[in-house]
Amino acid sequence: MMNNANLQKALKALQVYDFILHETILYLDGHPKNTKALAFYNDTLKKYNQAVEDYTKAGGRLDAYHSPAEGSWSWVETEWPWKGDES
Amino acid sequence: MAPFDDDLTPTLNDMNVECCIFPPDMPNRNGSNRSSDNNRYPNNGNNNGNNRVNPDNGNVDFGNNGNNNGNNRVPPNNGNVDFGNNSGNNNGNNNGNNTNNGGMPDNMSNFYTYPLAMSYVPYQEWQNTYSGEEALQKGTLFPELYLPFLGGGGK
Repeated sequence: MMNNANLQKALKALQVYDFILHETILYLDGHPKNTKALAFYNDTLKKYNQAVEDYTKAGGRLDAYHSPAEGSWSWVETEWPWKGDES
Repeated sequence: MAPFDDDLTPTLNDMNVECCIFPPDMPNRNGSNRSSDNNRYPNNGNNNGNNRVNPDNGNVDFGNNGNNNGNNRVPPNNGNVDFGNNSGNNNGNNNGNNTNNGGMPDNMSNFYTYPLAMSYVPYQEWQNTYSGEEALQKGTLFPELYLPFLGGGGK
């Protein structure tokens, strides 16, 4: 379960990059040719993809379509990725 | 100037002015009503002056008008209608749903009889951004959009 420090760290990073990537997407919707926003998007997308990879490698499951089902159903055995920080 | 350029200094051309279109059934830019406005200002007669709305208090000022022959309705919040210094006649019914309580009118069916307003939305410019952690904490990537609700005790 989600008491792995690496997993927590990966989830936090993923939430951060997911949020700022989405903010950038909203900006680009209204400013589709803004070069600074496009560069920021490309840079953030790389970090987001890396965060997804780190989270998955640490045992996190982003959705049920990418949850290994080898012997047990890992999707329900891990914390939900939208779970908030309880501290 | 294109509205999507990277110029960090907003100009009037960066403003979202495309919305400022006046369909045929809307009042003139100076606020005077035309007889063709009857679909929005039902039962109005001639309002020959400039019907001004004070931006501070929403009062409708019919000062120095000619004839105001219709139903002159008033905005919901304070609804004061001033016919001072009119040279003509005010022959109509003043039917404002005037609650004087600062709240919404009792009957929203009168909504279309209130004075129109214009709104504008400046284009956001790409400026500095928060760090990822700070953006997540503040709920926005953009410092210019960080506008926390400060309740009654804010600045």
